[in-house]
Amino acid sequence: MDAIVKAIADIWNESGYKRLFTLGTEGNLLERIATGGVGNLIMIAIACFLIYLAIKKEFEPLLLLPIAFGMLLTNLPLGDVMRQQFNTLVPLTEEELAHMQQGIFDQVYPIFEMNGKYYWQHFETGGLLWYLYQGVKFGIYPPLIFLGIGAMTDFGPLIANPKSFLLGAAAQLGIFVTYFGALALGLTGNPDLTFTEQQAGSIAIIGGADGPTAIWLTTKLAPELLGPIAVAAYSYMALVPIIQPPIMKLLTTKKERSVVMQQLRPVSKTEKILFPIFVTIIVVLLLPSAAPLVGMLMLGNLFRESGVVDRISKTAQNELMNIITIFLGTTVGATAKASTFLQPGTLLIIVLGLIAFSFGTAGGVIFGKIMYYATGGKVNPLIGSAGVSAVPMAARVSQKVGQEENPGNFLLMHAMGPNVAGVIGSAVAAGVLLTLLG
Amino acid sequence: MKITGIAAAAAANGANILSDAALVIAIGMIVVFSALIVLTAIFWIFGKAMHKNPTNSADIKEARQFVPQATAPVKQPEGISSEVVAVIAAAVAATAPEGTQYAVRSVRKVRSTRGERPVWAAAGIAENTRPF
Repeated sequence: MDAIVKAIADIWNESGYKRLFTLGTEGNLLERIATGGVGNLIMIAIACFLIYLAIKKEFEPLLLLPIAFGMLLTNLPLGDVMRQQFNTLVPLTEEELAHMQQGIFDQVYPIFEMNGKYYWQHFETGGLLWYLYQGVKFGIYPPLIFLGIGAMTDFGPLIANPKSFLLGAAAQLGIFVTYFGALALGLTGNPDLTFTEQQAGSIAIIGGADGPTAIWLTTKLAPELLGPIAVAAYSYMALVPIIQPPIMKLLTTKKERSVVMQQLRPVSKTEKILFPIFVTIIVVLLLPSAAPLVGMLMLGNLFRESGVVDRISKTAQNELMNIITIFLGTTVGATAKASTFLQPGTLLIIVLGLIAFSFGTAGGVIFGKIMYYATGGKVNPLIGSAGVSAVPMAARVSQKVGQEENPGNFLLMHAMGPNVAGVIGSAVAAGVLLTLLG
Repeated sequence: MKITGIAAAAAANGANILSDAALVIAIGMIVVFSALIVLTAIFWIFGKAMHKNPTNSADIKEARQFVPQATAPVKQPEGISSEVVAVIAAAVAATAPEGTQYAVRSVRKVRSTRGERPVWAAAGIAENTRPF
């Protein structure tokens, strides 16, 4: 009977359940919650809420669901899915040393010699998600996601109306304004409100509304903030239909919103094939740090438009995209551990991300108004808001708001131009931030 | 004096941080706009060249919608509906070589002679035995 009780007690002591209701040992109450099992419990609840949003409310489920489940897995105590692989050196005992000199090895590990002393080189395997996370850490997955996005994107509306590039550029204003704001907060002297330049740059890129770009830049500038930034970026992309319309209506008049734009000219196959080649050469020569993102985006698009590599194009759009999405989402979510996520800075990141996104929308709409006046009323300023990179949701929002004023107005294809230009613009902006802050 | 000195140093540091941040904003927006302005100009020029140059008309034709010419009504016997005629015309269009000019003038039901397989049955057999 005692043996059974002891066995049950051992199982309980080694289970995650026991750890769930503990507090950390150092720091103030918030820090002790964040580092203890209670923090894990809070994060499990947040992960379940995000799973609910993904499934029931369909908030960007393709990414939010793996992110939320990765967050759940990493916060289950003692699961160690994100445990790092490591080697430790354990000195040989005198007996083991004597055996070694006789050619007998008491352990299976290799022996390492350093300064005349001998050590066992113990190798501990890392967790599953740690190995998959290396694709994020080395900046491999986001460019591959861009490969798939390029293969799925039709740049025809942009080529037909090249002025849309400027709207895509204007919408990146939110990134740089937020960068300034994030650094300005540090002047308050409060350490919880202080970000380094690299952290400010990573937070600011949320304003590009481009998940892969945000993850790519954050892994290079501030990997410790990857969890909250990824969750914020994908949540705001899902909230585009809620965040943008009030800003669009605030900055435009009814007359401006009712503008019906001229039908786009036809775009030839030659133009569509030359587009990715030209963009790659021009942008990468100007900004070499943007080569992985812009290069993969344009490679995917060339696969699509060339018409001679249909199999590869389909793979990039479907199988490759799906596999990388699973790996990227799950491992990014797994970086959101309680000790890093439950910080005052996390809430600030979420607020700053919203500011970045809002300023990006405003920047695009304001430049749209400038184009409205410059062209004598031919450009509907609403398409400027589509300059954020949330393809195609932002373009649909422009269409919807335009149709509220004029039911016969179809702005969708006109808005797709700035929308896809914004993908290029946010990649360029990320390259600038990496060059200046990296 | 020391506190004032520290406060002044903090203010100067803050001013430096903000001025550096403003510089990043300026450089960032200039670079982003420059890159995209260059792309705008290139594709605007390219668009003009594509529409201006007659040798590129073959590419432009590909993007234009086909406007069918008006033709005389198709002669069709009793028992064949307009929908069947439309389906037959679509099947001919799908199998005809690209660029072929044609017009469907009449449709006639082919009667199989005694002993011969119906046409559809023959087509099905041919389809299934093609690999052999």
